[in-house]
Amino acid sequence: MDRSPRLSALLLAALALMAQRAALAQIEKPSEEDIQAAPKGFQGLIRGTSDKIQQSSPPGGAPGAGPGGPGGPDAAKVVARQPSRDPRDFTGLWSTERGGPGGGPGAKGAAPSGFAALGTVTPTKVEVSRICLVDVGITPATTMIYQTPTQVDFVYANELRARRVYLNEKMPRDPAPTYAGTAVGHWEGNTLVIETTALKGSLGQVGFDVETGSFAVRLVSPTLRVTERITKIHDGAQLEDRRHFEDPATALVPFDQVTTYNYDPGAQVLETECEDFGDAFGPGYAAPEARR
Amino acid sequence: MMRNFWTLLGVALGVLALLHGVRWMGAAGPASANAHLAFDGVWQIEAPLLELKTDAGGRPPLNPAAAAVYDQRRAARQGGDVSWDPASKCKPLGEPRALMQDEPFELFTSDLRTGFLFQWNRLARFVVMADRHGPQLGPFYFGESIGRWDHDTLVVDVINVKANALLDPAGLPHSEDMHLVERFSLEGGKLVARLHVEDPATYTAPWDATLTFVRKPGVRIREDVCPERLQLTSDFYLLQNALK
Repeated sequence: MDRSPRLSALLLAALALMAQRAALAQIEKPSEEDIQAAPKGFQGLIRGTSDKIQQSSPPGGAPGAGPGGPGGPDAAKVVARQPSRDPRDFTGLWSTERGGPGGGPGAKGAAPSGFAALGTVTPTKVEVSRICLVDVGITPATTMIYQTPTQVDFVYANELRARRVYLNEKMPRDPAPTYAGTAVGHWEGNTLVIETTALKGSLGQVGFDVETGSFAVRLVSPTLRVTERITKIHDGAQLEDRRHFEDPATALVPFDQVTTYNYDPGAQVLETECEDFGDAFGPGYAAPEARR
Repeated sequence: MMRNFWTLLGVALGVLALLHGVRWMGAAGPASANAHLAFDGVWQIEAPLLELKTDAGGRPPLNPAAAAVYDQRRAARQGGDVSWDPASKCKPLGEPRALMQDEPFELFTSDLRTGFLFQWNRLARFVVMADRHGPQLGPFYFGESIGRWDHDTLVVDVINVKANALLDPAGLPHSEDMHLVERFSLEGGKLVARLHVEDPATYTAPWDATLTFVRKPGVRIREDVCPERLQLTSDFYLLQNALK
């Protein structure tokens, strides 16, 4: 038996792994130029001289902006108001980062086997843009919600990208897949029920797959359907988002997730531009995700 | 006794009327919540702009060094070279350029944060409704914005804008010390943004410009993914694919 093809394959695989490790090493060691390109507040963090984001005082308040002056509300300490008493008014900033009654951050009740059935793939050249998409629409994250009688917008703080849900409409026939998917919603009592389909992209984070020696993502099928039931709980202090995933066209085992969001009007929402950070760290758009 | 009662009641009503009057005459603040809701919706620049002009119709008063940079960029663009433009690498457009794109954006007002949700690469910009800037973390592409209502005008104060967030598609420069004030108002059914720019490092004098937007009823923001649209690739993934 001729072993040379197998040997060549092994050598190539080893070479690929070394190249990837080298690329990772490049990610881990940003140059001084890279550091200078990052926002000032983050430079100490990247350089390793600080473990905190560095803040500086504004130069003399807000010249020309109006009243200002001592005693006025400060942008860093937005008045912590109570959430609306209206059980159907979700407007506001909701955070998953702090625990609270009824559930903490993250998902509980998830069925890992069902999630795993989504499978993984290695992104291709065309799929590079996915790295800057951050799983719009499904992954729990600190979220700003705006709402009108006909529309609810979710703006995710991790990349400040919006997802729109149109109310009291029928799901369009054969919508083109998008990263945010096509979503319609309606009220059942005080619960907002959202149906999302025609998704493309991934669920879950991009990660380094040791077995395949590649960065992998969990791809969704355009026929995946996600049903969300979002309800205000604890006198409106929290939002409970119950999600059900199923995909009749694939072997996906249906599974459920529950996420609880805390009303968090003072949460800081920073501009974190994937395109910029990816570029600053040399190897492209993969850098911020690859670090996880 | 009865006369004292009526006197006290009269004084109390007078004080109440005075307090109410003072509140009513209050200089700044919202006229009504409904007036603010009228800002909400989908808008788009009335006439697309390549170059931002002052209200007098001229070029902003660039100092010689900044003018040379601007002229170089304009010439390059005319020759089809936009490699100097961070937007050609999908970097956020920043303010006020994002408003000038010939694409719709959603505007949502709320007590704590006003949101501009742009179609271009799905960018979102938040304005924190507050009177004073907090500790600075930037610079950022959209800078750090605080907003307040002056009657029915939304006044947004912007500082800490990244220098590579250019002011117009032609490459109008600014420094990170720029101070931009945007005053948004509804005039004749249109949304009008009056801009005031102060940046002594780039301009010889403060200048003003005006942008006008028309409402786009029924228009929905579509998903625009800039890296896909421009078919950007990453060296890292090219390497990975080459080794497959």
